[in-house]
Amino acid sequence: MKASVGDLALFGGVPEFATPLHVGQLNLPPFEDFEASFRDIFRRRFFTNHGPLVRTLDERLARRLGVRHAICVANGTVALMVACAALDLRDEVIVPAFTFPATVQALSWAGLTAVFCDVDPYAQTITAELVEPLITERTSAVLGVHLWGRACDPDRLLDLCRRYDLKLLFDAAHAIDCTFGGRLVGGFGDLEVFSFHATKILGSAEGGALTTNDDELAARIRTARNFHGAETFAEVALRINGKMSEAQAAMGLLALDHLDEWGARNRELYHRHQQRAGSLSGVSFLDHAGAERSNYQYCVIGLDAALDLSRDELRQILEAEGIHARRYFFPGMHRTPPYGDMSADPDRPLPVTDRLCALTLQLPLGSGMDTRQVNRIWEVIEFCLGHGRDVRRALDSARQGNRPARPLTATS
Amino acid sequence: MNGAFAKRDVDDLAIFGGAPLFSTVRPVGQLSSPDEALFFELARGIFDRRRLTNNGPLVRDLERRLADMHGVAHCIAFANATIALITVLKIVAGPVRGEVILPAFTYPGLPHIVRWAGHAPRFCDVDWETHALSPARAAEAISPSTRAILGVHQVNSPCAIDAFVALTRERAIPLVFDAVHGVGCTHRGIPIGGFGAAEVFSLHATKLLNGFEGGYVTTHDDRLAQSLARARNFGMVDDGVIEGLGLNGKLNEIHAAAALACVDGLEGLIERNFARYDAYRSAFAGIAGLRVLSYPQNGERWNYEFVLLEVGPAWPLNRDATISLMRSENVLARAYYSPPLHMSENHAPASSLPVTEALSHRFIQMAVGELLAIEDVWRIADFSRFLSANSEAIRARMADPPRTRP
Repeated sequence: MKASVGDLALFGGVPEFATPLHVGQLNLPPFEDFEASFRDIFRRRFFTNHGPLVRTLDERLARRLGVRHAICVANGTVALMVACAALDLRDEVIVPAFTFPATVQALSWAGLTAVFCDVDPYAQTITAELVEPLITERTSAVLGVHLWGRACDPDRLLDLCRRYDLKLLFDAAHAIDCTFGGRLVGGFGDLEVFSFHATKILGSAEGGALTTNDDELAARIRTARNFHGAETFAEVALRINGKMSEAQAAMGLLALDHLDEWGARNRELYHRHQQRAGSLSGVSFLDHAGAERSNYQYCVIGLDAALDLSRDELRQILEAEGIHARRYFFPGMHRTPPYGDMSADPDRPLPVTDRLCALTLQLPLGSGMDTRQVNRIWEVIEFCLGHGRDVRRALDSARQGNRPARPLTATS
Repeated sequence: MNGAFAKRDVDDLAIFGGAPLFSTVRPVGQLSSPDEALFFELARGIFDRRRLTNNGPLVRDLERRLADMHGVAHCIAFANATIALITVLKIVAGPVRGEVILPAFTYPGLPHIVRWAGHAPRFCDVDWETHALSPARAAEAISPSTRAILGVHQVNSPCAIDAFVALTRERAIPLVFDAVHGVGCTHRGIPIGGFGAAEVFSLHATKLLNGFEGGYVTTHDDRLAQSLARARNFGMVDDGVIEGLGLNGKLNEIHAAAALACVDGLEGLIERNFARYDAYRSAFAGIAGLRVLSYPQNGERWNYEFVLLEVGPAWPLNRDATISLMRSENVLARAYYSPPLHMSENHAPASSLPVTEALSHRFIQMAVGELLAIEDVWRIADFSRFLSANSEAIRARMADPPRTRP
């Protein structure tokens, strides 16, 4: 417990967590299972190029997500690049700026122009209403992001895209095992793209997948992800080595065995975060799961702009305490080169995105954590917000190069 | 040391329903296994650290080992060689759309790579002797829209490096080498890796260093190394701030562990490759119309990663029929860089490339690597003699519709 500002690690106190807590999931299967799986790979000498484990993972994912096709690739960014090639997109794609860089950068690699759409302040995703005014004759697709696992207005966006004859794809990197209206993410739009990065609930070290119910599109995706003659099922102008290895697939399969277990742990941590945040003014917990099924892998909070401490200052304090909170996403992609810079573009304002980028913070939730640790995170936050002016003074003083106002005291 | 050779009759050929020469495949890739004990030791560390990717300690170790091996200042690891090459070309060739000069007698992925980097492929002919991009033809193809030259080292036959360095320096054009086949090879006694602006290697399982999938870039250029390291991680600098266009080009720690568990075995693998290559030369000696291709070595180090059979006019079957016959016997031979890239898929049109076109009909890429025993090579040679001796009957049968054996 912090009794005074001097107890904060940033000002010389003992960090709350000796071993830092991270935002990512970093889930791992038992080492024995890993070893058995890899001994099999070495025995088969089938290391990559559409091996048996990748095929099994494709099948198991498709079954789990209730889609006709799941096609695994090297990582989520490559999955997005493959999606652009397989859909043969042209010119402009409408996309949120409040997203991970990969969503937008993949469009650039595919030679496309990103047209940024602001997000809904509550859902934090783009919506059909926000997208429609941005559609021009140069628009070829809408790329929605199921941010934090919450589906991105899939039905109304589909309706809009069908009316304008546009392709619709979703970045579902956050959304494995999440539902919209009870339907699992994976079958929305023309295709969806998942990430199995180590920080995701289902990790394959690096990895990703595309899912679709469209057989012809699946053939194009399978073609676009490699250069092999034997794995050519359609005429696709732009192809890449996007193959997932057997090592990655082995990790993905082991993770899939534990997905329910890890989801249940996340859910418990998520609800404890929600409960603790609820009793604190100046902080809002984003209940992105709501009544839907979710993987509960992100704890996202918004800070009141009128607090004594800024989001970045709170983050700096938490960092020193061993609480590695993240500010996804800062800045918004519209202010990131080559798309823009920190000066606002008056012709294309994204006020909600800018506000979220300034006030949003993710707190640790994942592997090795328990609810007591969640409580301790919130005790630090409560202390900081409750002593906002004192902390503010200490920060200003430290910034001016002064030593901490009081001598260090040991705290437990 | 000839192995048992059981084909007596044309009917015994697998293509006509006989038992195949090998019950399991003999591939064209290296498929060397990492040192398992070392791999699992490194993997244990990955689990202990819970660090699976994002420029982890094994990736950094691997980069140091490879930089030493190639004698370069920097090695930057990537998820695979394709993504490495896309990233290199994007950086060195710049943002203004133009052309990248490359050979057409090479890997089918290359023109796609050029297009992902934002440029158009400009195919050029290769040299009769090296089978790599011809400096003279490349010089003729340079125009105001040329953004880079992408040379590709052939197995045991690097590009005319000095000529390209001189040409690109004079014309102020960036020079990049696809050095996937250059591991363990030298040019004027210097390891491949330090030439041009950058060289790109592969850690694919079929290559000499098996990292499942993976690739890396070597360079002496500090700024390029820094740009590559940022670009492979979404262009991020400290604290998640983005400096420019990037992607996910990261090599994960498990792949890095496998590659690290291969580095010490590289010399042994090259020795075994030489033994297989040497066996091919002995075993195929005297077979009219088939010759194991050998480039002039001039004291350089080679890796003997491929064995190429040159099919001459004295060979009584056509090249592609010979390949089909071998493949049905589980010898996974294939046509070497055929069809050439300017004549395949829907790439940019190119004028006729006479050397490339002639070479594309000439070679069979033979089974090699760790799944091929020396004895297997002799059996494949005996099999080839059998094909030659029975060529007339085979030709007649192959023209027939396939039938089932009683």
